[in-house]
Amino acid sequence: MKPAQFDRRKFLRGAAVAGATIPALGATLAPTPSRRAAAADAVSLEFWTPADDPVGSKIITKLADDFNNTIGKEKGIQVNTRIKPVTGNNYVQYTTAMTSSGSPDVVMTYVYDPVVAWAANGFIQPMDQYAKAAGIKEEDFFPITWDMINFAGHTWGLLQEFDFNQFWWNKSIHSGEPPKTIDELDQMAKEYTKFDSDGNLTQAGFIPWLHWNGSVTGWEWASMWGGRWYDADNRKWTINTPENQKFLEWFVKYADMLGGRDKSDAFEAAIPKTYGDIFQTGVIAFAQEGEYIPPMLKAEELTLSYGITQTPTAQGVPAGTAYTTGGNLFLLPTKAPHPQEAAIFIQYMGSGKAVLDWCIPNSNIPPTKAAANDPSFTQQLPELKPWLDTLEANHMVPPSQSPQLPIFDQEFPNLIDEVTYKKATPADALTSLDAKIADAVKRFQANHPDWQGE
Amino acid sequence: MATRIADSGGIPLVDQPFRSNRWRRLRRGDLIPGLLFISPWIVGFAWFQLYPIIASIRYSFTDYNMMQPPIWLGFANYTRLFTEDDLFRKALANTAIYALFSVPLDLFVAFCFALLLNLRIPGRPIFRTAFYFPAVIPSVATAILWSMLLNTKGGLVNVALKAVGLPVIPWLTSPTWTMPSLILLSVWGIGPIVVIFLAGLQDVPRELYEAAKLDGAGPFRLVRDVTIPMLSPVILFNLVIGIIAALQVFAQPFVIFGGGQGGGGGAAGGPLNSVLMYSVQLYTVAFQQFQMGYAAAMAWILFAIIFSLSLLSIRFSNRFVHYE
Repeated sequence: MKPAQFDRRKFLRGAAVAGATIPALGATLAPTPSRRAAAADAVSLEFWTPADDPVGSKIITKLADDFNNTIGKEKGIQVNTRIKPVTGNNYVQYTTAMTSSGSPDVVMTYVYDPVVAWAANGFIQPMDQYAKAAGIKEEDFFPITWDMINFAGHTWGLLQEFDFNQFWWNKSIHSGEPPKTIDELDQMAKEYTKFDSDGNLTQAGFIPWLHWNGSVTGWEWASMWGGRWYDADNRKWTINTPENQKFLEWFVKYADMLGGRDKSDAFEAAIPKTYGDIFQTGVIAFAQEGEYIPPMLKAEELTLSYGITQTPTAQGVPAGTAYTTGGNLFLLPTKAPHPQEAAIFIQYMGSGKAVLDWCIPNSNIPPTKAAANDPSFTQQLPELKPWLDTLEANHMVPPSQSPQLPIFDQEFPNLIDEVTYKKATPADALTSLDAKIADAVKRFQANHPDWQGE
Repeated sequence: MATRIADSGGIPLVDQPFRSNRWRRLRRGDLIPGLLFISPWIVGFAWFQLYPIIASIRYSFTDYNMMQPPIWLGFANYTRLFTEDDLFRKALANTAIYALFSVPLDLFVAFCFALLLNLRIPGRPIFRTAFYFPAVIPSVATAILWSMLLNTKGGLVNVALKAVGLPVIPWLTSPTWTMPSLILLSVWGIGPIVVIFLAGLQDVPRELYEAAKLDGAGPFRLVRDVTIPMLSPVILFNLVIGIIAALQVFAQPFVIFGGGQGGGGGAAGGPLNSVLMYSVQLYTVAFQQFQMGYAAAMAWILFAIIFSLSLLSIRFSNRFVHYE
């Protein structure tokens, strides 16, 4: 037999075929996570967490390791923790991953903002059957935390902790009793607001729009005026209401008291970089601060004399009213490859021990009554008593549970800016925002007829 | 059949067989291996570029949230953009202002630096490297760096202002200063433009300068009457590239002015949305509000704007561009 002639053309053709085929073969044969898991005879879960801070990452990794060594070992589940940092509430990487066939099995968030929109748009799936099987009951939770994870007729995940602010006062500036009503707060704030000869602020009594671009403070202070941006009971937006208008007019009053929004911005911006918060510098009498601040003050060894109490409210609004700014959640993506095993892991992360392992070192509020009243929690974090008292009062305002929240989130800080920079009147700003959200609701409902409420 | 290949003056250069059987056989034989060799690129291009481009046209006429099948809306997204969406208009206006000021500023500063770097001075390679260096730093890192430098809370720029007795400027917190800050920040990335200008300057014939000098031209006239006309094709190139980049600016405003920082805000538009840029708004609408169809419509409008401006620049370039 004549040997085949090996010429340049044949070589090129062979090389090209091989070049085109090898990557495809490689992609087909590469060990995917599920294949790796099968090889190890255990279900391999991909768990995405934003915990990239030193304390948070250590705790989350340890919790996952503990799971792997106990329940995971017993049930044949191996959790791979993937730390995926985020900036603020920007969970885009998580969103896009959840659309793909390589979706994570469990996602954790540090914020509440994207959760309802994820649920309404089908990114995460209800956990009703898993919650029922695990014996998760409403009476174990605070009413507010139960409402946060149960909406639109389903249970959507488990909370690790949740956040809300309390009213702090600087005892070096204000040595008496703290204000209980907004009228008292206004009087005291005026007394403690001081300017230099050029009209620049040297000390402020109170700046109501401090922190978070005005958005959280807007939700929070509207609540103190009896206003609600979203009625969670009836699942409706309630933007253009007299209470919300009163709240915005009150913001305008403070813009005047502080010499204009630009003066207060300059005052806030001029604090030394070493301080994360203007209240910590001692130049402001009153501020709303979170439960995670006390250990920070201790760590920074700041000699700040302060008191913590419930936030002052307007006439007719009950003392102990507070707005939930968010929390850490564990959620089950719709395209999770192993939903059953993922639910077991979520249940573990939401269990009393795991919650306390997180909440005590981070000074966070647990979502369940048993964990919040656990002696290990109350004894190690006595400064959080005002928060527990507020929970006991049971006047907590839940965050919005509307899929339109991301749109509202973009518009709302601008509304606060427009009003406090006096580019729009409160009435006009509310009318405009109300119309925009109503349009968004209409568009959404037209294409999502199954979703309950606005 | 043979075809006479001629030069531009019509003088025949050589008789060549055109599409001879041998040539056709050779081409047919090499076609398949050739295609197979470039197939990784073809697959990559088709999957990662061509398909998304075509899909985005389709999505722009739909309501699409990435999880559920798209719902056909016709031109509703485009109509809504132009008739209802004030954030779209705000973003478009902000981006236009940014491009209007940053592109000429960057071109002017880059041109001046290129002239200086073209002089025979000691340490010239070091200066050239130094000016190009910012271009190799990722834009996100640059944005973080500048947000620290311009931070009113102890940022170095304000520390320097304070040290010489000037008032501190709320660069990133005042709606009056945010846009100027961003425009000034664009100058940081002029390295590639400087390099292109430098390359152009090397090509300007020395004889032109010598002739102009003999005619009594001073340094200013040399630049005005020799350098600028001779560099005009390079200026046009940098102008078109600059317009495209400015209209797509994303990383700096997104990183510096929010990107969803804070507990409640999803916006990255700065105070009073003073630096809400088009690409940032597009990103917010697509990935934070899950309106992928609407964002696709925004993307195609941006493409149309960039395409039109590029065409206009080239169309009217014959009035000021001098080709040798």
